[in-house]
Amino acid sequence: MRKSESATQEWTLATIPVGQPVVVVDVGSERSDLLLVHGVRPGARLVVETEAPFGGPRVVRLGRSRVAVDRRLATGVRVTPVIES
Amino acid sequence: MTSLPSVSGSLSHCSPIELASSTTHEPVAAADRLPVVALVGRPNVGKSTFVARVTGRYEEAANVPGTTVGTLRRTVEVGGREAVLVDLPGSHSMTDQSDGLPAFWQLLLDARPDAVLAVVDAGDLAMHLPLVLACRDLGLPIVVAANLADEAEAHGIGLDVGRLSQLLAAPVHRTVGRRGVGVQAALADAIRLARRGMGSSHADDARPMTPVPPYPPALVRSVGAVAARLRAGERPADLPADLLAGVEAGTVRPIAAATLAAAERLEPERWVIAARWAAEVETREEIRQTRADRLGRIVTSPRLGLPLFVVATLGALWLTMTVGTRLAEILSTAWTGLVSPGLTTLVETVIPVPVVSSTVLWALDSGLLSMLAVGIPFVLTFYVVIAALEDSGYLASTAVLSDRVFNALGLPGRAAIPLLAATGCNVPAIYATRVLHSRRERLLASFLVSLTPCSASSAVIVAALVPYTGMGTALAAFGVVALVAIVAGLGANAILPGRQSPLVLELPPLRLPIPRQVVAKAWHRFRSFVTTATPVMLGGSLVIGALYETGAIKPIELLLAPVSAGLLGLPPVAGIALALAVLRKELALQLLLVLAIAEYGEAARSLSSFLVPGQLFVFAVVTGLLVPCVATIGALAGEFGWRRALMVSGATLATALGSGGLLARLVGVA
Repeated sequence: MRKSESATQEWTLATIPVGQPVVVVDVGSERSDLLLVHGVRPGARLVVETEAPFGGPRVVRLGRSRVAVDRRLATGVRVTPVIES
Repeated sequence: MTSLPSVSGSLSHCSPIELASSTTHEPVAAADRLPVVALVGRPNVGKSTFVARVTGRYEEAANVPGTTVGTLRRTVEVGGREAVLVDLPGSHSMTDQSDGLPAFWQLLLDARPDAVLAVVDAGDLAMHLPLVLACRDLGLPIVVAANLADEAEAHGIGLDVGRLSQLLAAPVHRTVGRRGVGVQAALADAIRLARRGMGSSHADDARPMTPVPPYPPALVRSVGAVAARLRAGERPADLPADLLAGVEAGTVRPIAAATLAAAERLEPERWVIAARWAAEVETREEIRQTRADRLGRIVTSPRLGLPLFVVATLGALWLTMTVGTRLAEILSTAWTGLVSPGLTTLVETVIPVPVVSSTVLWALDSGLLSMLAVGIPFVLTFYVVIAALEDSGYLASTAVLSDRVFNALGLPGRAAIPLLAATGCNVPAIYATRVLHSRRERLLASFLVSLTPCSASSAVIVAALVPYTGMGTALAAFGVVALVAIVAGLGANAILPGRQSPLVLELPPLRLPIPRQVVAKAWHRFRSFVTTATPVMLGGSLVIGALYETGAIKPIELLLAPVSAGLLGLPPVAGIALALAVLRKELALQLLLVLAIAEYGEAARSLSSFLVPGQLFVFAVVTGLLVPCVATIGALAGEFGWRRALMVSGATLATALGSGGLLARLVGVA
């Protein structure tokens, strides 16, 4: 049941490349409370800045704040890329 | 609350009638209590620095999210007006809850605030305004401090304070907590509102949410309806029991209960409003990257972050060891030269019975000396180092870097903080496990803390090995201790039911530590260490002294022989030295020598005369791992209760003896 139901290529916070601006579509269900209070909410615009070694947390920039997000938790966050004009 | 000197003083001058008339005429100044201002803000917004500016106390502020653990109440005076300032732990939302504490709204409302001073990041309103809106929805008067204004401006972000004030219908002040800019004015404003609110206390139950927040009308109506039912004395069963209890007790106003019950529907709206308002009031030139931003990225990057982490950790330990050793030398020389002889004469004169006087001297002389030579120098130095790292914001980055490593042990990267502290002293490290969220994580971390050699046991490892077998063996002993701790941690993680909570951590910007704040914080923590550890140290020494001086130590030694000789391959004296190390860690070695000389004569002055290198190695490793000292067990009991404390201590003991026995067989001494 963990598998993604859609066959189409879907981006998550865990897979987007560093530096790619994205908009959050859905934060998933697992411990979403932790993400919500840090502003990782549907509609929020963010960019992955760095990632910790050994598959550690990804450091996300949201406006002026930086939030480290556990990689496993990040797989549940669906995002869509922002095309810069 | 500490004191109400000026209020009670002025009361004594007026008659009851005057007092009564003055209260009716001027309801703003209810004379029987001071107005209460609650300080609210997200973690790391500089709230504690803010308080420090007002109260002149710098102790409990840290550039690490969630470091103000309890609620601090202080009487402050601004512009000749006194008020009680309640500093609440940093919080992201009303429903935030850390292990063992009530939800944030409960902490806030239990403080019975007359007004809220909400501290926000002037450069990141979209993130900070939701909490402000949530406070306002509780029906409390609010004042907003747009703090860190200097950092925001350095990034090219300005703020239309007037417009924000209009939108929020509340006073907004531009503040820079570090330099005290705007702090007094913001607080004075909050006290003014609080005094005004006190006169009409609870009368506002009659008004609707004022001013009407820009929430969708349907939501406002439904929240309003719940509030109206509560006001009418109804207790709707679909409301959480703790809210209803609060309404009944008078701590939670009906409108507050209604908005808290609707938190899940209100919160998304608050974030939308916050983003819209932030965009409206923030004036951005081009966004500038500051040096702190770039450095912040470097310290968490995989390529440079890790080597920097290693350098920083080793540097911190090296600094602690170097300065600590130096301080220890100075203090113990001063004690043995200046205090000890006089003290000995004094005690021997006052107590003429030799057994009793020697026992007392164990406590007063060698007990206090060990505090001076081990406890104080290493712990104090370590606190200063860690406080500086905390204030710089670097500690949060280390939590991110080490997250993956700690995950294997069932812990988030934040666990690095208590474990680093444990190398100084286990007692404050147990308290430091409060940075972890769940009880499970705190227990696992406490177990690892108990297995971590503190400065006292490290000293024993070094002193037992370096002179006889060289530096390399000592390093190997530390390596073995670390290995055992990791294996035991893996085992504990597998055994203990439950799962680890994933890391989501806001990274504070890197800042230059404020020396005064660093020193004050280190001193504050140090003081609580001294008051906890000293009585235990004295008591422990007294027990050891009594056992030794009365000869009661001999039967215990025989009792322990199967463990020391059979399991660990050590002579009986070593067994008792290890057992009594529970009372005083650093005494393990000293005691071993004293007992050995008593047993084998003067020739036993050198450890190598009665222990072969293999035995020394086993002795050193077991000392490093062994049961936490009594002070640590006390700290464990205070945090988790006696059952858990004994469980952790027992697990530590089993790990130490098990690995010691295995090691003894590997090196061929048993």
